[in-house]
Amino acid sequence: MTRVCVIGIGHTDFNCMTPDVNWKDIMYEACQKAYADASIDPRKDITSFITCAEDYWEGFSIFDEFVPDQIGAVLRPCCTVCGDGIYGLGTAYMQIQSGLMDVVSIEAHSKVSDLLTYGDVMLHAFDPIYDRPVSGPVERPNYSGLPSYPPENPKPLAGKTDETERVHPYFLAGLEMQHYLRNTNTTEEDCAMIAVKNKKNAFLNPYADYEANITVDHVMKSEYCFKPLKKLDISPNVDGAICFVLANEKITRELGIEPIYLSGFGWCSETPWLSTRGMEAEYAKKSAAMAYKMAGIVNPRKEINIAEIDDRFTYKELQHLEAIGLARKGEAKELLREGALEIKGSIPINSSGGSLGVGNSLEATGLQKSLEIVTQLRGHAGKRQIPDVKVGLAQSWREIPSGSGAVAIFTRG
Amino acid sequence: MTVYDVKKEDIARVSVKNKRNAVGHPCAQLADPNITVEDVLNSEIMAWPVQRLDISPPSDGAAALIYCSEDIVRQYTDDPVWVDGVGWNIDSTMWTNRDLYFPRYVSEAAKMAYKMAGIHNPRKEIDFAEPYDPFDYKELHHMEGLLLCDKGQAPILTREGVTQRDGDLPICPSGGLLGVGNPIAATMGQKACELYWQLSGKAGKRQIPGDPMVGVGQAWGDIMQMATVICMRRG
Amino acid sequence: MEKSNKKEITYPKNPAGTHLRSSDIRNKVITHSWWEPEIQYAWSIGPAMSKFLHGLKEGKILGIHCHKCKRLITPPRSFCEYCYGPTDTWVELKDTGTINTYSISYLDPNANRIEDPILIGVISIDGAYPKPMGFMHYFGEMSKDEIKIGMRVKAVWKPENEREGAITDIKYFKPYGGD
Repeated sequence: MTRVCVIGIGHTDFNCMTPDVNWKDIMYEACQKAYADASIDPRKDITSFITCAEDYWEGFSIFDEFVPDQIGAVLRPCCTVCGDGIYGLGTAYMQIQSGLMDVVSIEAHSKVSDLLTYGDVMLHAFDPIYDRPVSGPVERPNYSGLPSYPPENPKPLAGKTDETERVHPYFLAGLEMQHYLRNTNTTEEDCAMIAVKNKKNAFLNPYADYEANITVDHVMKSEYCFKPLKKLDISPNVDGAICFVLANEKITRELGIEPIYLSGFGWCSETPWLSTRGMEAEYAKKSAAMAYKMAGIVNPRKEINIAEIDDRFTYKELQHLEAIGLARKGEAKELLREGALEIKGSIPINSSGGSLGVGNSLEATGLQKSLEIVTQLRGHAGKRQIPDVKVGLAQSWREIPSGSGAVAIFTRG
Repeated sequence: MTVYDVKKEDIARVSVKNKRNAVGHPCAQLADPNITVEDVLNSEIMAWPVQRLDISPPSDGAAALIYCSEDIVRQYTDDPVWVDGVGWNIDSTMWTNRDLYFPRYVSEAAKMAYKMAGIHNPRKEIDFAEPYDPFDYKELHHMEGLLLCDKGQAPILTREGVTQRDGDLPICPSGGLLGVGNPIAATMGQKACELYWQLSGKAGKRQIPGDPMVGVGQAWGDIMQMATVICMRRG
Repeated sequence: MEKSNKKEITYPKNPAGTHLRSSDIRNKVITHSWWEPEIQYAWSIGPAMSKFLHGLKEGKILGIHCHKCKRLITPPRSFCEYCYGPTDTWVELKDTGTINTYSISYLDPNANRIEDPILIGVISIDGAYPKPMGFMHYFGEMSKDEIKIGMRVKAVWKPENEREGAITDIKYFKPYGGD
């Protein structure tokens, strides 16, 4: 069976707002760059196209229909995977290894600035019978006696009156963080260090949007949103698009490209029962185990040189590190305190800046993580280049309220 | 209708055939053994030229199939039905910039599936088909897209009875969406189940005579732009 | 499946269906859960479509060339979906065209009956190519018995002060006798 290689990558800049372009424009830009990077003509050379998108983020039912033109897929086999970009890489991997396709394009993006009610869309993903009613509108009288919306605090563009306040669904992260801190003897300061590290790394990444020179103290003094989760523990949303081109090894060699292999991937979904499933990121553990097996990795701590770990919330980086076996349970904070997770450390994590530094790019998160790994493996990471990188891991989570995630492992040839 | 001078009566025949075929399908919502072409032509006008009995209803429903690899299939059955080919294809979003009388995306998806299945002459090698029939004219449109007949010929084959269950090329022997119902995203599952039942001889009252060997199923989606095709073969 | 050495897969035979009406939901005859999502979007339009919409505000239908594919495209876009290259050179098109296909629509989105049916269809705009090249719109000043494929039509614009840069700045297309 052929091995599967990355032959092209392309991406837009990541920005918190992009009012000047529409979703088609950013997809076109990322894909055009990836096709140029691979020196291929999408209309002649690419045999299959995949976009990873969730209808509710986009605001269209059947987003599939709005995809082909801007990725070069008109009258070609093309499909939309409703999930994170790494699921798209996995689908492409299967198409190539089965011999069905030779060259596959995978695109994922975020145009979250077009969405005015992010929290409500996320709440819409909660179980409608048991979870949504108790995390949705809170029936509470207006005690203040003041008008609901005084001039200095006008009614939001979208939102309920204060008689029916809604809880932002990120409260689930607060619940999980509480559990994680207690279970592993990790402190809020440890989590704050993740924000400091990742936002600092982002200074070295030209496409990152949320680089910042902050201290643990800044994070600790930022307001509580969902105690113990503070404002600076949360990765802010960002717009951007990424495209990958994968090919079989024969074509990669013919193009004269030094192969970077997609050597393993895995995916896993836990039950949607929020109150009965564990809070230990079992999805990450199982998807990593699948990916390690495929890539022939026996001792991940020794064999993996760098990793991009889902850090949509600070504690998630630590929790995921332990789940995927790069740290023992409760050990992630020790590695962090020792500096092992820094760019110059023994196992650099989120050298790109991660979602805390680049921004939370929704379904593109897995591809953003993969983009950093491939850039590092190619030796093109500029000031944040880590020497002698041979094996890198990208991990993503499908965010709240899911217990779903995926892992991809890339290896330099 | 305009390009090929197709008569409304011939389109209505599809609906009549499918609603009659659905008699005996355990999940059918709209089976009717006595429906006539006149019933369809006299039904309420929805969006001319589409009338009520030209349309399948949106339905609740689910379909499931179990695939397994060739290596272990003999643990379960001696008579497997093989999935020989799949194809999928999408056309431009900008549908007002292209011709709508022939679905190129269907023919491209069909060619991909036929190539995989080793089918060189679909008209000779395919014994029956389950094209997507949310509206009766779409069955005709999709038969042509699946390369089962020349452009503009599907209404004629229907009129001549070729597409009846006992005809030379049975189309939608399940009763299709017009007879069974339209479970939206589960539609291809419904079509694929019928291919399995027909090819394994388990279709009961709906069984096509003469032990069909090869069947093709097809679904359609998005803004008149997306098709998926599956070919199955008796083991 | 008769042979005993095979693994049995069991499943319910012919599960029966139950009739259900929307009044059953309203009257809580069946147990159900109700939720109205509060979901809003404001899509950025992007450079090409923005210019098209500005054109409509001025009473103009704009097109753009793909020189490589020899297309004059409307509605315009920033790239050509066939060659995947950028589009270039804006052109003002006429506000006349030909009906490419149409339907006479008697139902609203919730399948309620509309007494006076809506005429809707696709217009190939004059000057744009290759045919068919154009967009969808309403038809007016013609009866459901008059409308046919190939009919010549012309845009009826909203008054200038009511135009807002939207496809509905054209009210509908009416029969057109000229060339």
